[in-house]
Amino acid sequence: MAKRKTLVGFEGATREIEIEVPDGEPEVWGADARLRVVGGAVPRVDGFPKATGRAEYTADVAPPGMLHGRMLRAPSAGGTLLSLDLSAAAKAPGVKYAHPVAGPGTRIPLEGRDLAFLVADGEDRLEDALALCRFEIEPGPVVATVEDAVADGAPPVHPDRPGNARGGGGGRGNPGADFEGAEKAMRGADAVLERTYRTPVQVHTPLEPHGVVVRPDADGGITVFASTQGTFSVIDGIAGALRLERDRVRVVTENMGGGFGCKFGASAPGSSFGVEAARAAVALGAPVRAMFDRREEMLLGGNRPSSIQTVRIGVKKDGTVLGYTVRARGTAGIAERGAGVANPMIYDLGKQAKEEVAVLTHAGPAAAFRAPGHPQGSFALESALDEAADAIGMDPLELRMRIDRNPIRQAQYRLGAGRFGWAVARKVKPGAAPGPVKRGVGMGSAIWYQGGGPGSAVEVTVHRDGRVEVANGAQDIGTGTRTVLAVIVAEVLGLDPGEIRVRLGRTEWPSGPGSGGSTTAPSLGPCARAAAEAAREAILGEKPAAGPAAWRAACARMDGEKREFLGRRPPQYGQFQGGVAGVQFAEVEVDTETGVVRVVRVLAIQDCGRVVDRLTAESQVIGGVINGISMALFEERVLDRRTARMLHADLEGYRIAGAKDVPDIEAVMFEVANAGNSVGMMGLGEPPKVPTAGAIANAVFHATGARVRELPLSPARVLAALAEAGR
Amino acid sequence: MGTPDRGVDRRSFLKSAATVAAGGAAAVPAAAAALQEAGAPAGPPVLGPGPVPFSIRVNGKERALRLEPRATLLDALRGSCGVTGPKEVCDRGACGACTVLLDGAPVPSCMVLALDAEGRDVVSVEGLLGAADAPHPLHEAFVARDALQCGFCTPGMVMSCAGLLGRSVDPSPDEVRDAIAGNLCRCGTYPRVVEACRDAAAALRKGGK
Repeated sequence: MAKRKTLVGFEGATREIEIEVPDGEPEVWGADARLRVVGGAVPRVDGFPKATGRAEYTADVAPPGMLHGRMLRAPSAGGTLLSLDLSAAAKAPGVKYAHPVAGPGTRIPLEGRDLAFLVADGEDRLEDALALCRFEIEPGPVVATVEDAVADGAPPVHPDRPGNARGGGGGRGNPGADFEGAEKAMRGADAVLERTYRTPVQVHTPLEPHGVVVRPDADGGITVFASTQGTFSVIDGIAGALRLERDRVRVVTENMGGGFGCKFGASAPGSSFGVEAARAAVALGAPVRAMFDRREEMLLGGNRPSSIQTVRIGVKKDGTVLGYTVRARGTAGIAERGAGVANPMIYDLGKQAKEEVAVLTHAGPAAAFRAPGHPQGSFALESALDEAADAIGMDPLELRMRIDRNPIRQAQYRLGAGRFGWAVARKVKPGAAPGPVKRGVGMGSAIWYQGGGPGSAVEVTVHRDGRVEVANGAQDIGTGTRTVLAVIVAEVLGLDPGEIRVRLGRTEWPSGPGSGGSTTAPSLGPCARAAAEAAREAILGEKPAAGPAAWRAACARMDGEKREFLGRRPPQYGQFQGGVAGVQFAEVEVDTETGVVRVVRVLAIQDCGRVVDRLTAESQVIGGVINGISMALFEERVLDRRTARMLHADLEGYRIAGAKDVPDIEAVMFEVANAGNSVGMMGLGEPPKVPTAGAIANAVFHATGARVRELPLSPARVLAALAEAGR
Repeated sequence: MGTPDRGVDRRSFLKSAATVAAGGAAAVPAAAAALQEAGAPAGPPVLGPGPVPFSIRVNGKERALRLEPRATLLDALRGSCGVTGPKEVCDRGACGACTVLLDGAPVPSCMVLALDAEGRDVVSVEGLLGAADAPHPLHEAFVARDALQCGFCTPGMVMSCAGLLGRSVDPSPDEVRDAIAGNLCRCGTYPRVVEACRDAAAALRKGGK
């Protein structure tokens, strides 16, 4: 380890700090680094294949002789399987395989539970064969809502868990939650508010559904083309189940059509279809394709758990928050974990306490969903802070500026307030705008924690003709990882990003992360830099990179046809500020006669450490905000209360934001040199999703003077809140 | 609407898409004609349920098919023609990811029976490529504006925009939003699609392609 000095901070607020860096690591790109292509607006290097329809997704893979597989599914939740007869289906034309994955006595806890896996030589014949399967289910009672699940005498979702409730969002309880202490702290408050906020179950809805194509290979191994956020995670489920050596399970994800947290492992949160497809492919000695249809995706593909959060907040007249407590319940369906809400650690809230209870219901299991736990927790927190500000007669932005110690966000508040015209807009008191259609503004703050970590490696291969290839086994889920790696390598070697060929998404290539927690780019970026620096030193020696011609001339002199350089990265260095910071401002228009809310504009100011490619970074921010608008205004999974059937397992009824629901979104990348790693990258996919719904809810209050405490902010809820407020 | 004095109309736009506009559906599908010749009783011909021979014209190329009448145009494109640009997402016309131009008009190909496309011009996102695979201004604008992320909705977005540019040379942002109102995107590319479509319109007006 060596101590090194580096300049950290942001424009107008930089300072030198000393960090410990392992020997041999490249110099950190600090605030004073002069970079040629990093930070520019580089078009996505895989943009043309995607725009022209030539990019191959898992859904497009069709090896010769491919067969089609699909799961037979229970039509509704509850009860027990009595019998399953696949004999007629097995004899149907074109059917190659009919394998039960449930038997007499199997409990049916959710609509769509796996019953049997069938394979046929065409989708149509497969559909015909599924209709020939015979089964009998003894019906049983179900619970569809949190309230029903915890009522006396409710049927247990899992027989060994009567009462359907489990403490702790992460399944670990909330040890040390000191509600008494928080209450004691709040005794000195000028206002103590207790409010209950609710958020619904939200379905991930990636456009490409979960799916695999499994091809048996000549060496006894298999190749799994998978629509996944974790190529290496696919090995986990399949190698064990099929007793294959891990390196004989080769996973390929050339392009993937969206995941947002729900695509890890070999199958899907609510089904084992991927493992069964692999089993069938090996048994048949032929490639088997199994893609979810939309109904399967909506039921079994994962979801964001619901929340009912009862918040208490105590605030003094000067804005000091003395205490903040949350008692939260939510359902992750049949999953026992993951129903927690995050209290984003943004503000100084005095003494805090939190209790989380995961409530089991007869519905599809939850999965991580873009900033798991955070938008729910943020909606409650930002709403409660606004209500507290209203109670003490303070501007909501001013309150936040008084309880936020983060210097980055302080700068962002000032920048955003000016750019958005906050002070002018807030001169109008809540609900005081004239006329039936009223405008209002609100805001909220973002945080994220991670800057990636070790465990990955990137290989840079330099060919004799000067061509440079970059390879890693992880996937690009659409965030622009290929482009980011191309930019970093191009920067180091003095080349154009378009000249760098980046190959991602094959487990035969160096180890890479699963795309969760916004860690992919910041994990891989420093690896790419380390590999590129090694290549530069080996090819150019002490000479600085001097453009493509000099590079090619040097490569022509090298020994051998090609040279490979492997780059790794150490854990995060000591940083200027932990985590990333963001602030969002939203303006809405509310028709108080119809209750319809329209988002008029959003300003999102977001830090992600160093911006490597401005275009794709802005796209992440815009996308996060749109996902937040969709959550704020539209999304809500509805189950029939008596049967637990999903009423809209499709894209007509389950509404997500469309082009006409989305306003102009201004994404401002707030660059911070944080010295966390050699590039200075931090995670970006998740933080822009965190504050949007809360900011919109606050804007609706400003417009109308009526507080809607339940998402989505549907016309009915807005009208009910207006009526309750007497407006 | 396109006007000749501005250099682009639907006809020349479609020409740039390497297709030849042709009018209307064939009077009698070949399969139906075959049945009639075989002495089938008079009245509407009954097709299927077994496979039926017919052909469709995809991206300027005639494709002979043998499919059950229940097959959708999307099934035919992806399964039989190897044209995988159009994506299957909802399979019921709710998302627009499978949008193609049918005689110049954008349609979700999952809502059209393949047989009903007989004798008509089908253009998918691949069909917008010019000679030697030269990208269309829409392709270029989508990349330049980063109007795509995971890319799964992109072929449908591009084709809805292509349909719009076939009838409007200078669409307003609201006209583009109307044109892509049936195209769902989960990554959140809408604002940049609007920009890209308008950029492509400007490039086409300049007569670049």
